[in-house]
Amino acid sequence: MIELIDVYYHYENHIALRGINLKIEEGERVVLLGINGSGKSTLLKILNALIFPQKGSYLYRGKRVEEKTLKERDFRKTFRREVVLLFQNPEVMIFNPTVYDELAFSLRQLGLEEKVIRDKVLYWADKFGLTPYLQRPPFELSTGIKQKLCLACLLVLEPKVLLLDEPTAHLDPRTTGWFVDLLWELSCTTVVSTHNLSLANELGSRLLVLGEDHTLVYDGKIEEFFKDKGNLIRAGLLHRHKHRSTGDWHLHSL
Amino acid sequence: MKDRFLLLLYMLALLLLSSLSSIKYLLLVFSLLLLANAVSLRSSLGRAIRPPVFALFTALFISTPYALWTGHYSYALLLTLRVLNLTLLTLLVLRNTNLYLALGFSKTLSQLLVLTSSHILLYRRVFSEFKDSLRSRSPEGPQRRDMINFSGGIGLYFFDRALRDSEEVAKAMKSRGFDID
Repeated sequence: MIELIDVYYHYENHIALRGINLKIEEGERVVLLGINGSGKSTLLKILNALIFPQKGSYLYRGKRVEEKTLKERDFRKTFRREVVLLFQNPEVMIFNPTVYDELAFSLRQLGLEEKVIRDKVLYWADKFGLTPYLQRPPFELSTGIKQKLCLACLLVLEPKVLLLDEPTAHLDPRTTGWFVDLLWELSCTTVVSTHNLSLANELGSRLLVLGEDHTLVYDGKIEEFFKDKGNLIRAGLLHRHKHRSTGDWHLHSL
Repeated sequence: MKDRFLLLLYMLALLLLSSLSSIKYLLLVFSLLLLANAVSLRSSLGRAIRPPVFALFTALFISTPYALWTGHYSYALLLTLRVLNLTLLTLLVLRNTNLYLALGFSKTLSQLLVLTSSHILLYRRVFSEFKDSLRSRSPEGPQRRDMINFSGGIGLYFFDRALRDSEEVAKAMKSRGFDID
């Protein structure tokens, strides 16, 4: 479904991704792990075709995704409907006057009838507990509710691939639990980025790890990765600090 | 010290340029500043002249109607040249001065500078994320109605955020000893 072949990407003064090769099949639940600045967000932006590889290629359902193909109306419409991204900061996804308009935003562009749009909006609002807020300006909501709203805005499109950039970063423990349960209810392919090791197990079954050198240092089962401490060290996911009680140095994961 | 000296020179040059009324001298200063900007950018004159083009449009927008209305064409030219010179001079000084060091003598000015620059950097990144999210959520490409909602939405967001952030940054600076009350 998704294939990256020898992908490189660099910003003005630093490299973000180096020689990334990977394949993701339909229905897979992938967790993307790496320390801050390892290139997780860049990789997700490439998968969502917001930026394009400077070297190498990105194939979606066998078709090369690049600026040119995104200009083809039919492909763009299908791609933007099927592959969606939840941004790390939910506030940047909110710009409509009411919660209802926010949920209806992408559906309206698809040219659906207003009744169909309404039914879908009401269904997802109810599922996410957003019904009481439908006529309120979304920027007034709390961060947790905003995060729920942003996710609902994506799911109304019934996407095939859901990309999530640090989705639990702004959530309290209770909402995080709700979010993890919801993720397993969804039938679409998911790619979730995180630097939270304790949560990685809960978010998927396959693990991709980006190392400090911006290469893919691990691609396999989550359980296997954690069995070998060397993996954690190579990915920069272990840190050393002095134990307060004994004064000894210990290695800890993030 | 170098930065303070440059800032002082800049202020004196501002006064001088504002009081200079000979078109011949203003043209000479313009050529020198253009050259200095090109050297400072290590690029061609073409790249150095790009930033003042916007200033030129703004100046012409004000001075052209005035010149047409009153017939004082030479005065309109004088105004335009002054604006261009001041713009080039400001860009040159900004590129070669560390303003944080230059304004270090005043807590108020330092605080103002930190507030402004932190906002500019942060908002530039957030604005680019907003644009990405609009693209990402638009299967058909944004329509006019979407653009209106988008502009209104982010305008409101930045206004609200500017208020919140300023308060936050001011408190943080106060706790670090930048108390100007």
